[in-house]
Amino acid sequence: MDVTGWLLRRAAPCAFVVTAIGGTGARLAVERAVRERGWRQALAPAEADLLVVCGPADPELDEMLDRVWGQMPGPRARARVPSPERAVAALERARADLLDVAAQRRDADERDRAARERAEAAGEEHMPGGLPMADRGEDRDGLALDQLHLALGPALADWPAGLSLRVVLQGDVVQEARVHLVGARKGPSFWDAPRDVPRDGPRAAERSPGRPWTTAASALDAAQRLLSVAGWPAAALTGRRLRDALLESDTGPGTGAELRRWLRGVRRSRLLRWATDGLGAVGDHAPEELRGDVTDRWSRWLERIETAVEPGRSASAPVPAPGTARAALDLVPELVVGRELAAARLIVASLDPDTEAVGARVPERDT
Amino acid sequence: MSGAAPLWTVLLVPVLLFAFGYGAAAGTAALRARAAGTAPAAGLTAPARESARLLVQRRRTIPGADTLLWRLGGALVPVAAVLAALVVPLGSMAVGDLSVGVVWFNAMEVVLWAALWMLGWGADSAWGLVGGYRFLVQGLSYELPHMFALTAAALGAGSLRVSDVVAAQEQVWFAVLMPAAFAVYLVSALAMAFWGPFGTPVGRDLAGGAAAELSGVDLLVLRAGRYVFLAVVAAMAVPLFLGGGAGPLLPGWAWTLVKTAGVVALLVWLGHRLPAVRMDRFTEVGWVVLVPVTLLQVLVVAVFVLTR
Repeated sequence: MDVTGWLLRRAAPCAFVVTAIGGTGARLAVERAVRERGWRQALAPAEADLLVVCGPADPELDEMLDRVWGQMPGPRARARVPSPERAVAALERARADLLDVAAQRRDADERDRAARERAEAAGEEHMPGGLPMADRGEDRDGLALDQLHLALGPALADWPAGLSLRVVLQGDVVQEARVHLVGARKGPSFWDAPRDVPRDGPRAAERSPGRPWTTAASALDAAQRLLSVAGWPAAALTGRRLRDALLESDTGPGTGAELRRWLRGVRRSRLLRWATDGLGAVGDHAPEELRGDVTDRWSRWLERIETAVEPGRSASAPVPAPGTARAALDLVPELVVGRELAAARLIVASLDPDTEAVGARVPERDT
Repeated sequence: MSGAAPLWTVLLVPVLLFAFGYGAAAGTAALRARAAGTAPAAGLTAPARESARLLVQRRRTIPGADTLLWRLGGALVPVAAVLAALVVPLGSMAVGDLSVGVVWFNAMEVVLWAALWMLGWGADSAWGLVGGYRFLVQGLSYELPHMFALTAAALGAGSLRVSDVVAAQEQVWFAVLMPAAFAVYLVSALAMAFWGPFGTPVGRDLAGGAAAELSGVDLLVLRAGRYVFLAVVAAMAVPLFLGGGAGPLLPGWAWTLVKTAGVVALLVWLGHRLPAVRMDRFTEVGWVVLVPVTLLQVLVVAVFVLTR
């Protein structure tokens, strides 16, 4: 009896989803398909068996993805989803690859052989694992602590597409931070562009940019990401489902009562406020969307959602001013320095820079 | 009314713990499925399906990892859970009714500190290291209030023997007599099992934290161990605060199981309803609020015992 195959067929795949700039539409389709199939999304490559890349190819990103691919333990399969309508087919094909036990065994043998050869070639090593040791530096309290260099993103769960935040950590406190965009490209942001829908269909007109529920869906997307980072997976999942329902609907929100219940639940959460209050405060020089602390920013999203889906008031749904995305990106380094990683993640999630709206070149900014 | 059970019952402990742990995992998965808009019934098989996946997945080797500590850290979690459960009575019988049962239980929990730190440190990964730090901070925040909550129960009974604590609750449950200690116990139960709102050491914002580099059977052992631990801390709440096996109609062992299931369900529901607690903020609450509250609770219990 082939136990491996039997177990594999019963397993629900766990997908590590990486989004390239320009891949937001594909990501939404993938997240939806994964959710509806009862699959899980991985937090790290180590636990994943599917690597799903959403959006266009980019040489720099592809090189990073190869490294992520190398970290996946196997059985493993890879899927690229360039556009939303290809999501389901790509996921099904990847699943089929995963179930091909013979091919998976070949892949495993191949990797084992390569690893043995590398080990023999390396021979005697002076450093543990052939890796350089961390250097020390003074931290904010004047202690000499190891400095760890870490790149947050672009292959990170619940993280803006294509954003790579290069940080120097001491302990779990960010000492330096630098923003880099991987695969930056000119082109409209998913949330501003007209949707890819059948031109003759009734939806074509409904989902044009600036439509209230597109704004609401974009705010819901940002909110679900923040909730996920804030360690509230249940609320994040519901947010995702409501977001997909909004994007799907032909005639506006059909999930009114549930959406209102969700909004109430999130808004009333004292624990969430407690976790985000006073973090990443931005002054009045910034675009209105970004002002205040993390709590202010997510509260604003909730208001935006509420306004957009409220019957009768939908025409007045505010749209983020142009330039907000770039301002958000510029704010990231100064706000995360001196913060503990959990706070830094919450700050980035609350600024939620729309990396697709920034345009092609972004100069690297130091702190 | 109490005593040490025959030796074979030692085999029953992991089986029961596993059943409760599976129940907790399935309950969590069902609540998640409902949130995701899929059939909640699928949640019942979700832990089994995930286990199948992890059994097939290969283990990883990491350059520069301290493999011994790394693997040992994960394996210690279920071991500590089962050892802690040895003093938990089922009805009136425990596998080992030690004269210092409460201290034994507490000592086994503290093994988790070492386990998670080894797990985070051993992987030679920044995520793991930060996850390990976080659990140490968490431990420093919850452990003292937790120990005072245990002390309150032991003081109320005048004994560290778990069966004596149960016997002392014949008239009134300690959950009623010392509600603050019970509440603190439940909070620290979540923190100890690094689960739900206290799951940040293996949090989503750290890409899995201390567990970020684990795969396959190593990850399965850690995840299963975590749910088993949740089951143990829930089970211990029954003899400490909920009168043990006392109850009408049903035999003692059945009441123990029913009450344990109730506490597990409460913890699972709390984990579903609450976002993560940021540890740098919780530390303050732990020391400035929970420690004084539990100390006052101990004082009240002491006065009560003296005047009784």
